[in-house]
Amino acid sequence: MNAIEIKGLTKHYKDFSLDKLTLTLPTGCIMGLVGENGAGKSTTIKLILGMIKKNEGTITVLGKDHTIMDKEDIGIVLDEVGIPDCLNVVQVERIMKNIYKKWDSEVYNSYIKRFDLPLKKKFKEFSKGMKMKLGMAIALSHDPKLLILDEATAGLDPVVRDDLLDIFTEFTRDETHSILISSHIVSDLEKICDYIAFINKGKLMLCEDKDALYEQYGVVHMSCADFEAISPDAIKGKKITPYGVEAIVRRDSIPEGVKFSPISIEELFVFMVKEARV
Amino acid sequence: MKGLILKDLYMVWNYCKTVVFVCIIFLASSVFVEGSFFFSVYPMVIAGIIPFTIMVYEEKIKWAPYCQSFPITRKQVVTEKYILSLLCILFAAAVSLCFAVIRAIINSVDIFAAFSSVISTVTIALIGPIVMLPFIFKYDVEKSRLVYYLVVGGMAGMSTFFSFESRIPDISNGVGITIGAILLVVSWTLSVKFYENKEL
Repeated sequence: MNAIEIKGLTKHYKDFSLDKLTLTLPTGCIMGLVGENGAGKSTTIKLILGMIKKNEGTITVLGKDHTIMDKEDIGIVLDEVGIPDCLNVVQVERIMKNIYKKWDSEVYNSYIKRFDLPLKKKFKEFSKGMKMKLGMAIALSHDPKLLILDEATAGLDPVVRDDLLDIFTEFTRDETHSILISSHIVSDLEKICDYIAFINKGKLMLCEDKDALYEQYGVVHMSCADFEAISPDAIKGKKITPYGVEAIVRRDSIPEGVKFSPISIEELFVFMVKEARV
Repeated sequence: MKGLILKDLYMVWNYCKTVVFVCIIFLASSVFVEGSFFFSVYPMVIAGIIPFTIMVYEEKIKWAPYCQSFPITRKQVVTEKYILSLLCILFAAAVSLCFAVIRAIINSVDIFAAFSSVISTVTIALIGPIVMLPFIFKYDVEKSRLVYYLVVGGMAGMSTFFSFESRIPDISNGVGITIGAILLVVSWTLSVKFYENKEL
């Protein structure tokens, strides 16, 4: 069973459309949803969670249509965590205990201890990192099978981000657990994701196994004259400078003997987005 | 649902303490003021629209999208706000009843008249949630603010008018309560319909 299956998902706004998005997150994997601000990442997550209504397409979450999915099995962390400012960690637990049937106070308290969150301080006095950690503690304390994280690492310092990435990796050690995480900090996703989906202006540009991307694409540096010999179909993106051309190319479509540098997901993303703008 | 009520009670305690205090002062004043309809009704009306204040804060922190991620239906979210309104009105009614009994004892008036007066004010206080909640669930808090001012201002004007007339409208009978209950159900049904179609 796949954790998430999206087919032909379409949502129209006046000035933006999410256009026939199709992607699959296999169980036990982490998928990174990458895109610029306004590319459609949050719209996709809102559609999955039923916050907004789709125009077309189907969404299946943990084997069920998303309109009848069991939200006990899903942990969510949104960019703006959403917890009332006046509450403290203890009060939040009392509330969540009455919302989730599978709430586990022991797990919650262990995360609170691990994150070193103060018990009596109000949420409004928390730093951005502390707020996100509390959101994460809530999301993980009702035995979820799927985590959906919308820009959960945005605006955090590198140490906090690293702590959270460790938690995500730990979570998916159980092969029934999966994560869908959206971010425009590609380097974070590169560290932890098994699959990468690029969204640009509401369209899915690419959705592949991260390792396959490393194998399929490479960076070449060459003169403009040599670059002319490369088939346009092989080129995913290019940057022309006074010193020559730097380009992302499909490894299997270029002449033998050309030397590659390994590609980073961030480079691939930036080149593809810029190429799409041309 | 219990979790949502608990959350809202924490929020009422944190953000509406002053409102609760002012309501109690108003109700206490009703013991000593001649033609005290304004002092009896106005706190009840304010109590009934406390959910509006809570929803202002909820909108600010983007609670609604977060709440959508919980195993809670939108119908339950709407129902909880109506329950909160009723809890606030019932709390105000209990306080009002205490002062009404004191007033009846001091003025040697029939104590059942005091009960009747409180039931009348409860029925009037229901107008707040009946009118406002469907607007908030259809639009957002900002767009519903005008309705808020109309309800608060209208109710204040009405209760002042009846105070000058020294005549409390007797709607403690079955018809008044039944109409109030029916309108509350209609209001709740509309709110559920609006909120289930709302994009968060």
